[in-house]
Amino acid sequence: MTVDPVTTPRSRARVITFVLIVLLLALSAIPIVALWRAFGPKVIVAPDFALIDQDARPFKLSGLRGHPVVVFFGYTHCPDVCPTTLAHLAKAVHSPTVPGDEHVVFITVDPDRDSPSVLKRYVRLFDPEFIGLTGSLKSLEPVYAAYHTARQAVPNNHGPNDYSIVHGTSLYYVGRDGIMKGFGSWEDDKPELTQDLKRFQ
Amino acid sequence: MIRHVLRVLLFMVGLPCLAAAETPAVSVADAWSRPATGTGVIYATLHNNAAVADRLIGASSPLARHIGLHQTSEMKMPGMSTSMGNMPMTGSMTSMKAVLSIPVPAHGTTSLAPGGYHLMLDLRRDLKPGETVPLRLRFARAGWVTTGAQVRPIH
Repeated sequence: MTVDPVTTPRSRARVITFVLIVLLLALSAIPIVALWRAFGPKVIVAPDFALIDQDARPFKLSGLRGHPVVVFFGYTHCPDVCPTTLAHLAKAVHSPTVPGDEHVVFITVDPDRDSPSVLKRYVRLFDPEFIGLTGSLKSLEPVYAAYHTARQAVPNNHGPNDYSIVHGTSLYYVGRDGIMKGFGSWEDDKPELTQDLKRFQ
Repeated sequence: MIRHVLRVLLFMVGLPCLAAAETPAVSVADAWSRPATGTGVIYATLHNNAAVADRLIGASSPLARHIGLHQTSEMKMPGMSTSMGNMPMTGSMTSMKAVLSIPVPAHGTTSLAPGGYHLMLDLRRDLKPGETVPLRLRFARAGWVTTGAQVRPIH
């Protein structure tokens, strides 16, 4: 005589216990998801902006959706930090270990001196593919605010057109999906940058 | 006769000066720059071979209208956000200030390097990769030192 394993009282109890455990786990996932949403890593869409590129054409960040983007703020009269950063980025994006479709977007903090043509001559020193952006201070200020950065002009000693600008020096990694993936430091050289470019797709 | 004595005296005075010129009190090594337009930079290593401290107090080049001595420093901006959402940002700002002089300690070395001391050039023309920028550095004690800064290609 054969015994149906499902219909015996012991195995029925086992099935019920199993179902209860699955139900309990499923129910406990709801508060876990809620806790994760509240306290876990937040997904931030990189704030979109509309500015003017080095060819004086309108540019929107969302137009680069599908490509990883590195955003950096600086100005062309900056002798030290900005060219160091752009030179490192130029080397990193040409590294054979990164996908190679990254875009580097350089947003000026000095719209008075950085016209599209000045930006064009500047960015192509590093890489002709780099994008240099400018606009009116009125259109740029919300971008600085959205990216939690700031600028402050400091006069130098050779007339009114001779000034430096104190500015934030973070690198912003925007993924192909337009989500902010992470941040970098201007001091990062090729090894750190290529690693970040691989990580923050 | 007097003229001859003077000539000998001048020679005797001149000799130590010549000797001093052969082993300069301050020597400049590895001066380099980057391709640039409008504003340029020069980095270098300054060695002080003398037993007394010296200071770099100025620089000039035929390729620059003027050269400033600068120092970059990292600063925290009060009230500046250090995160976006809850992703931490460096939150750092860099400021660059003009300095009157750059110290070179006795028997010591001072590096002009990215993120620290550097020379800022208001360029008369663009700097091309591979060329050399003629440069004269002026020290408070050692006087003028002539060198050249190599324009290193980006890649």
